[in-house]
Amino acid sequence: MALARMIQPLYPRGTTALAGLLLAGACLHPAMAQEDWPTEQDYFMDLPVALTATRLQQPLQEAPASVTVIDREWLEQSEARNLADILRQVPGFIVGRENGNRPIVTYHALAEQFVRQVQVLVDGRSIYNPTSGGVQWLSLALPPQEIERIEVIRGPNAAAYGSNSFLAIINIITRHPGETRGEQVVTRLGSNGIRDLYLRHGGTTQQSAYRLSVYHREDEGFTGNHDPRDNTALRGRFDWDLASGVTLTTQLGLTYLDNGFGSATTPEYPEGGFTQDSGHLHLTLQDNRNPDALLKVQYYLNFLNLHDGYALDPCCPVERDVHSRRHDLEVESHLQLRDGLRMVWGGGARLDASRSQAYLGHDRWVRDHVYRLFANLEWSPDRRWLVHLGGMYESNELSGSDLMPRLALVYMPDAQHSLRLVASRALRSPSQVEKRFNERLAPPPMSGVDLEPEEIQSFELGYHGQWLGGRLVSDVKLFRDRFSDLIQIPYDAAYYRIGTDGYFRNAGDMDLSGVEGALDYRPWADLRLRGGLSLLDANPQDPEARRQADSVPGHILHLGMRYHLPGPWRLSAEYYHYGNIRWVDDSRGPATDAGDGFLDLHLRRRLGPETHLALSLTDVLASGYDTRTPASLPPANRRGTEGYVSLSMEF
Amino acid sequence: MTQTRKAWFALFLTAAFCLFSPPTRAGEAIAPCEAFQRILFLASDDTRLHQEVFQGLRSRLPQDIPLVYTALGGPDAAPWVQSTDCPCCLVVTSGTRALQHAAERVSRARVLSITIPREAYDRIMAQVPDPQRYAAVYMDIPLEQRIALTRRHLAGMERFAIVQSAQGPFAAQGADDPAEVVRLVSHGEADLVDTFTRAARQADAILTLPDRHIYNPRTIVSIMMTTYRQGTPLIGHSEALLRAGALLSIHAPPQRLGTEAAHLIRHPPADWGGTRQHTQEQVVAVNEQVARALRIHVERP
Repeated sequence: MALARMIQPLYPRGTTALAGLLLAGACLHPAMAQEDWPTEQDYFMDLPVALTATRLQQPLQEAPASVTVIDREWLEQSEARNLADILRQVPGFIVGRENGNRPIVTYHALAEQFVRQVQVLVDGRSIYNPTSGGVQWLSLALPPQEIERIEVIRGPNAAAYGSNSFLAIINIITRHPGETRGEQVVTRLGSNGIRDLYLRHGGTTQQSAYRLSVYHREDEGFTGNHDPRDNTALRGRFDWDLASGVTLTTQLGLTYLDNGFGSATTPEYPEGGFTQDSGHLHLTLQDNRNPDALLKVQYYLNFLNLHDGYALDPCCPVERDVHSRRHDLEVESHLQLRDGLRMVWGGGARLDASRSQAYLGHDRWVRDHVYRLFANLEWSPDRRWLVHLGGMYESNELSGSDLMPRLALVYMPDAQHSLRLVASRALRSPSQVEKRFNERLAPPPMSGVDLEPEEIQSFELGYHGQWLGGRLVSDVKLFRDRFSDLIQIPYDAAYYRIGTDGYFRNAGDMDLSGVEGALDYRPWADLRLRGGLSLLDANPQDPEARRQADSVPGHILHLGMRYHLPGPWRLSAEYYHYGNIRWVDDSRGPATDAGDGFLDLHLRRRLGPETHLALSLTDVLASGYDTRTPASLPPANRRGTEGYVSLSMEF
Repeated sequence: MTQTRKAWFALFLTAAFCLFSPPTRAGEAIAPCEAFQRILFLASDDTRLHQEVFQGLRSRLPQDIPLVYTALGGPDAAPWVQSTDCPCCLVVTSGTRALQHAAERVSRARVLSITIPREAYDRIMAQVPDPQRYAAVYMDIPLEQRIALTRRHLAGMERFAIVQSAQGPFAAQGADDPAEVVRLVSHGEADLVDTFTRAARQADAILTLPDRHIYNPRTIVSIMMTTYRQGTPLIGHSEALLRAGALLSIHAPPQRLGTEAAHLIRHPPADWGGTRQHTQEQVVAVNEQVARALRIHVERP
């Protein structure tokens, strides 16, 4: 066989990659493994692709949007128990809490318990709930230990992420399992019944890396309310190098939670609880063989089963179970067409399915399909200019077909500074419940009214700059957003049972303008400071939008600090404040603000190379209420300072 | 089938010729040859890496030059090595194990070693009694050249760091390093991230070494992510490192190692045994995605 090869050409060119793969296997050869000097295998050994195009961060100077990055360094020192608490460190973000241990997270406006205008992606998987809209925060039991970074696009970007990427997009990139090898244990014990446990095991083989983890959280919720939390999540991630540069990533997750809900002092919210089991399967195939032509194919399934009920009258319990499924398939291609010209394009198909007697009026599955095509072009005529042009065309059974475009111009006079001008349009399609609720409850003629998607047109002028040799990073933007066709939810009738004229309708236009700035400063190596301030002004264009305009606070402020004290100590502090908000779902209630603000303090001591102990005090300035007061229709959330001790060990 | 028969016939003749040829002893000058009667390409493994090297060699040699491919572990490797062990024959070894095998089994033929780092070659040659039969083209590119090439492509690179293992092959090196190079030692995977963090803070770029205690499939993700977070690029020694996330790789592709060897065979130097040179086939490849993410402009001189 070898003799035949002496006169025959062997293999076509370009087989180096496969050679590397074979050599990687050969590296396991005992004889070679024992050689202590370099051999040819050290030059042709196959290696997993660590920095893929999707894992690399776009330089913020070139970004065609306002982007905040919570990086690994910041997350590494975070002792936060909830991801929402970390998002307080993003300029313009409103973070509150609702009874039932449910976070409220929105950007600038439309603050309510069912925020449906923010998109959250975990490694490209949307955790948007198709049934009622909004983010499934409760299913997202993701500890900071597993997160590489969080990129928050402050503003709409439906051109890249599709409908519902309306106010902001939170991109969570998890850590490659090759980075989390070995075991980790994090335990947390504190006041108010805080009992958390995180266990992780990770490892690698010659061609794969994996991580398995369990995350359990328990606490008693707000003082005086009946909203304890008991939440357990299992997660797994497996990265397989199928061939040199070709990776299949499989992510699995299951979450079970058993939360209390209600309050003894609010008759409309009797003490009860709900359970929820949810999970996901996420497969991503990435072909990185050619760095100029990345191909990514991903499929995911999200499922959720909510078992909820309450009884105003013991004889007549009300069941509010919801079952939800989402299947999503997407193909995405990154191309470097020529020097200075790049394109990302692709398409996808999605199936959303829901079943809920309480919200849909029958116990059958309803299904809606979404098909999408997208392309984003980036052209750099010279090193100082970048032009971004993109659009998403979406055919949605819930809201018809539409194009969501975006145009951005970035000017970079030098390597440290850039100016950007961005114009975009985005839609928020009605959820499956919103779309069908009228058919069941609204009186004629509203029962026949078709809901249109909400729309936002956004204009932004921004500046990004680096100073002091990169130790000071600043970002400022002036913006003006025009909201139209806002979907009015009949909270009073449908949720609080006040009145009977409850139906969903598009009504109300609003302008929101303001200025927002952010700083990230490292005066010296041991100290890092972050801060952000948003000054907002909302103007309803008609009386219908008054409710939404009142949900916009005059200001949002955050400050953060990470300080490596001498020796093994580290101190971190985070402060957060927002002005008056009249929550959209509580328009009869009073406006609330953050009082003296939220201040969290964490003191950490290193006990060994991979072991540390931390003492945390949260809401040190607690007084008054969080989000809801006694005058609100939902139960009041009395604030209180809590403390806990965390121990983290890695083996 | 006919070709196979011809090959076996050639094998028989060569074996007969070699059987009656006197062996070469240490210190004895090797006989001059107008042209090689037979050339054997001996690969360490029958993998596509060595096949590509062979392909490069074959493509640049005239078709009338008899060239045979074999690989260690194959059933015909031993007879071919034996039959090619004659004074005007040449064994081209591709890979470390192939040279080791030739050093033990070939006593008359000349040997040209390619696809081998200098460190491995020197270690094997230290035990060879008659080095004048041996020539080599090392696959590695000297540190000074890598630094010079890096500077040609990346402006403002002044300080370079090298991370090496305490127990690895480079532990004793460093004394002759240029002044702009700092070496850091990692004592195991436990301190790898800290070591690379320090290296990234001390240097403008990190030069990799073929030290498998440091760079291997288990550790590469941590290394890449650590240096990326610090904003310090890696200058790799292989194409695999480039794909994994290095900004540049300065390496010699396998096929071009073969073509380089073909040139040496067609124009053998008078001092065959004194031929020890590093490859001149230096390719600088750029990972554009990483360059963009780190906002590093790569010159293309």
